[in-house]
Amino acid sequence: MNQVRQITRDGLWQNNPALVQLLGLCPLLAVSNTVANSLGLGLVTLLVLTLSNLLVSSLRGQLNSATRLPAQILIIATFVTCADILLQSYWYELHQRIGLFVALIVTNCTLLARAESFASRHPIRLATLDGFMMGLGFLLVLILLGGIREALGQGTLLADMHLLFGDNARAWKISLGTPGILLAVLPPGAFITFGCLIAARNWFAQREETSPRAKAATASNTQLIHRE
Amino acid sequence: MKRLVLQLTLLAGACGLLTSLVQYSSAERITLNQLAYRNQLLLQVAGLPSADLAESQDSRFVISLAQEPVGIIFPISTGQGYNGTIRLWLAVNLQGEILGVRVYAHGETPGLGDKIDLQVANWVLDFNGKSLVNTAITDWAVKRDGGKFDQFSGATITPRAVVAAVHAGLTQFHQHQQQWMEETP
Repeated sequence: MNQVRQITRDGLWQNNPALVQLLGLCPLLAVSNTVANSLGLGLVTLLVLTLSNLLVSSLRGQLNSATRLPAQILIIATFVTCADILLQSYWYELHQRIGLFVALIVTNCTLLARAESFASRHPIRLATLDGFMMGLGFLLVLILLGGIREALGQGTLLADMHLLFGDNARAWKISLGTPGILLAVLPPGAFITFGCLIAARNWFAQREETSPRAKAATASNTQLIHRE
Repeated sequence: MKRLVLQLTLLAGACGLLTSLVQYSSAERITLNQLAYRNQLLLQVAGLPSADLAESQDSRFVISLAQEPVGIIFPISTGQGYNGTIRLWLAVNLQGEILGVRVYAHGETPGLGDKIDLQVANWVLDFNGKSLVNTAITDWAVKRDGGKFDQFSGATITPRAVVAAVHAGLTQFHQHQQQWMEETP
């Protein structure tokens, strides 16, 4: 039970793939100009990460140090390719926007890092949970970044959600009535916003560490990691 | 060693099989999606909610309503922009009036020249309804050059290039109208 909590906490906060490990930044920064694009790429990443962790973990008894890496890349590439094809057949318009970065998920280091450092050494149940939580952590950061950039850059929220959820979702769009700041949409805006997010997370983490209640929690967490 | 080779081969085979299955079962759907998406974009250029499109040579498309040809959509481009080639779709009806113009590829400066893109500004809609008959040849220029079309503050080169390209496209249409309408498959 403790392990489940630890994995959840790691993926979402303590060891978040985007904000702490700083992995997979190329798609993260490129796609996060609207919530719809962010959600699309985040969901595909989440799915592929969960499935690849599951498969890598279930094959961990069969593979040794020489075959592990090629096998992991093969598995990840297969799932990404399938996801890419399925996206083209069911969400074609979304694929037109984020398709380039879907193929690039193969090179997202988060996937290989989780496969190698976690899934290949842990039982299936925990590995799958780890993939899901890491994917969820990545997805949440993507959506947050997408939301901030969309609000600042276009003055809207949840625009173009029909790309994901069909025509009914056109009504979800919220106009904030603020003028769009071009910088937020352009690549530098992505870096600046992302930097602010990292700073905010570090500030919270530091405050947490200095509070006495958290000190006790951190101590028990460290013990847990050592025991593993 | 043998075992390892066999394992990797098996895994690669399984992965290949899965990918081919997914690809095979989706191919038809994807082709349909591509066609539908392309037609949707082209009809948006012509400002028509629904119509039939028949592709002929050199990616020209004849637009038909109830089997009757009503116009043609064809690609034009210009290298006179500020940065690289600007590519556009030009939709013209049988009377030679512009149904719509859309820029679909350009490298113009964001914030200045990119107002030729409908996602950025409505400038490109000024062409709608214009023809070689109702707009004199001297009017086919930006206002700074004595014409009828707005330039953008800080960027005259880009709109000047687009106006010239659209005018050249219309001239081309007039020269080849007969031939283009007849080559429909």
